[in-house]
Amino acid sequence: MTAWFRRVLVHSGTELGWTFAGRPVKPVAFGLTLIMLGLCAYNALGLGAFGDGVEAVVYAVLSGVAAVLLVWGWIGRRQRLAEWGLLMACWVLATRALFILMVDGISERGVVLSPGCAVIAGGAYLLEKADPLNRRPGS
Amino acid sequence: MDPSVAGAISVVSGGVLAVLLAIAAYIQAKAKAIAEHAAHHHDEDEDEEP
Repeated sequence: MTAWFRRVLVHSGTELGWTFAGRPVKPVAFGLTLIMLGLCAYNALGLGAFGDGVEAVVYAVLSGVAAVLLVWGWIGRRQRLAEWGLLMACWVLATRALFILMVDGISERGVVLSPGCAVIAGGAYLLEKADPLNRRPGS
Repeated sequence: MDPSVAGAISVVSGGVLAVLLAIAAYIQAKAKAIAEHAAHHHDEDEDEEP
């Protein structure tokens, strides 16, 4: 009972203490993975904010790599990869925010959503880097 | 603005932001390590006192 209590309730700053398939449940990283997969798919199909030019393909590749890093980091228990995935998600979302701001202006809806998501991704990256429980050998 | 120019500028600017974030995390980790090292030495000094 005490071990269960410690495992479930006494946790680090970035983990709920919940586990799924032996891995920590991280809702922010999971949500960002879904966003990255969505941005990758929409831009690969030419349906995203970047239109259907070469910039949309580049953006689809960047968001796809971020999604792969996040998924690989979680499934493979590779903390460093997950951190790189969060940092890349921040890059991808900041890029989208700047692009929409420059092309469509401040009135576009996406200009509000993307900076907020970029701050979430950047904040999650800083928290993961600062969490002492994530500095395990070999991670 | 032309979308291809805006795309290039936004990708580079977003990358610069990400690099700055990584540098901030690195500095934070270094500062934390130095503070922990200093605290460890402080504890050792206290233990040695009669």
